Amino acid sequence: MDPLGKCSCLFFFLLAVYVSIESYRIGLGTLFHAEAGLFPFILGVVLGVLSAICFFTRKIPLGEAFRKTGEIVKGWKIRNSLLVIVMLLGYALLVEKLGFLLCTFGLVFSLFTIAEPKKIRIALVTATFSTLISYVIFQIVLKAHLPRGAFL
Amino acid sequence: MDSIHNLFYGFSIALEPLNLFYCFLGVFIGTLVGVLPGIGPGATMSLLLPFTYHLRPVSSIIMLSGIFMGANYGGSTTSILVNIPGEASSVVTCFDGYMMAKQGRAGPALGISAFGSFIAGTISIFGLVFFAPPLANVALELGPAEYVSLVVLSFTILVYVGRGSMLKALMMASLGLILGCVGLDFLTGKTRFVYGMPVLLDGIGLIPMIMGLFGISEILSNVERILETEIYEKRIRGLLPSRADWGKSIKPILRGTGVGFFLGIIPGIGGIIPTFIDYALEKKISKHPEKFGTGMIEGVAGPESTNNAACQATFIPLFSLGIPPSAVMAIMMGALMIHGLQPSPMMIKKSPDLFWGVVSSMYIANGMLLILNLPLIPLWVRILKVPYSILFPLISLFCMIGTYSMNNNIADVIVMILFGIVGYLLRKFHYEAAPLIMAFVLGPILEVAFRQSLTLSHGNPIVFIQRPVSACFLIVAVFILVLPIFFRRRAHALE
Repeated sequence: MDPLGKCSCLFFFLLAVYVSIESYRIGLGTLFHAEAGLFPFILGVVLGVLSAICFFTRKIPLGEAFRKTGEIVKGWKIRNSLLVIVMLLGYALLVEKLGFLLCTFGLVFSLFTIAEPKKIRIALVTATFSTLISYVIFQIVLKAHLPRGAFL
Repeated sequence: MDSIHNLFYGFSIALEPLNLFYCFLGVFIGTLVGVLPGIGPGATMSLLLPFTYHLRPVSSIIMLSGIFMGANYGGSTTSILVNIPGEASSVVTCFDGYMMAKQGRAGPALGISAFGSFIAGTISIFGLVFFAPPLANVALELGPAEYVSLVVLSFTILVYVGRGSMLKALMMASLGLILGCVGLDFLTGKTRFVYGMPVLLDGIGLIPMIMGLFGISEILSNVERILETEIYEKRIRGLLPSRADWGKSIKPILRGTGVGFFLGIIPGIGGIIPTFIDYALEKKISKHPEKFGTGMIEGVAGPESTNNAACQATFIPLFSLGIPPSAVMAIMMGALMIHGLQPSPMMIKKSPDLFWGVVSSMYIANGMLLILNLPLIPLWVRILKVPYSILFPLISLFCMIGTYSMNNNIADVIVMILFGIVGYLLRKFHYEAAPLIMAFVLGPILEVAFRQSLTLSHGNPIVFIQRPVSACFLIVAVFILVLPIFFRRRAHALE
């Protein structure tokens, strides 16, 4: 049945159509004088054909596939993963404004508390040590020029 | 004789104090990584890639090779003590290794695994020395059309032996090739799929992509359920196998070396498939096949030797053909390209210090790993007890800083996180990232060869079939693609 496969194949088919149209717009040229768009166009067509085969070999109606996929997705335990993504993105957006030390401490502390929410003391100690050690390794030893922050 | 002289030349490079240090650092970190379930050699190599910027190319590849070999060695420790493979190619070791540990024979299991890996690695390195240069000479005769067909064949083998659906693996390979097109076209200078974003002008960064797909996505998967693992707690005694153990193991070690080496050379096979094949072979040959899975030392000696032999053999296609046979070798290829070196059949002639230095250092690394693995087992057992709740924040931090430090550009970090999400979703929807990575690395090279072929043939696409070697590669590729359909029809007919 594979409802996940059905939905993902549809996504890749639409992606393939987009890539093909975009490549055509860039310009295909001829086989002798290939333009920049020829190779990605061929790949788009190949991906489209493969995803179409994948789509039609899944013998489940599309509506049912969407419904079952929704049920499966609801059953995923992604709370921790989503929190990690938010924290990593937050770190990326703030590190150049607030500086390496503060953001790194905050990141390690928050990531640790995702898995062990009650062990605050261990989180504080781990975050402090990690920040200091990574600062020494990257800034001093490897001379990586870490962001100091807009306020320093 | 030339190869022997070149090998001595290589030793003169590998034995430089700095290179010895990086070799040791690589094998130590690799073993540490191999011991820890949750982060594989691919993720570790991608984490450390930015730091190899500052090293010479030879030192960089020596260190990365050490990590790769160390991870293979270290993976067996977790398989035997915890029944969780430290990395994918140690899965088979769990079957009998853990049972031996439960019977109080963890020491001989760990010992024979280390010695078997050393013997296999030593023999395989000589195979590398004698096979790679002649293969490179043959590869020099290949033109652009043959190269395109060989890459297509490599992808086909990779998707055929992959764990999941062949169709999905081919889709991932196509996607990887498409992602490789992002950026400036090398010939016309036109931008493709850039949409005004400066960060994409040079294409998607290899390191952010690999770190995202391997490192971040692995963290996102593992952090869903942080499991407690049951670790073998008893004192480990008697690491040196007895005479009886050696008597039972020596032939499986030699057979495993042969299986691993010759299968490891084939692009696409990697390290996992040969270990399963070897285990099945040992079971078939054994006088007591019913005892496999209950603690047979042959079930540890053979697959571990196969694993290590395949690990060495995967360097051959990379160095002699310029084709990475696995995702991990694709990372190695990325490392070479970062240092301005283009893996190709000419590489052995143009950069002999790199090739022979790395080959010699692999032999030294084998010795270091034997010394590291046996006495440091109590240390590895302690490290196994470090909770994942402490490990994953540190791994995440390394990913972030490592990516940022490449260009001091936060856009690279955001690209890494986005690919981490992509990799996570790919896992959820049962797609493999390995074909995507391989295709991404090979894509630009494939496109150059493809366009060269068409230009040389005045736009005639039949050139790929007209040239006999190219035609052979394509016929084999089609045969491999058609094979599963044939088997399925035959199975239906038999039912």
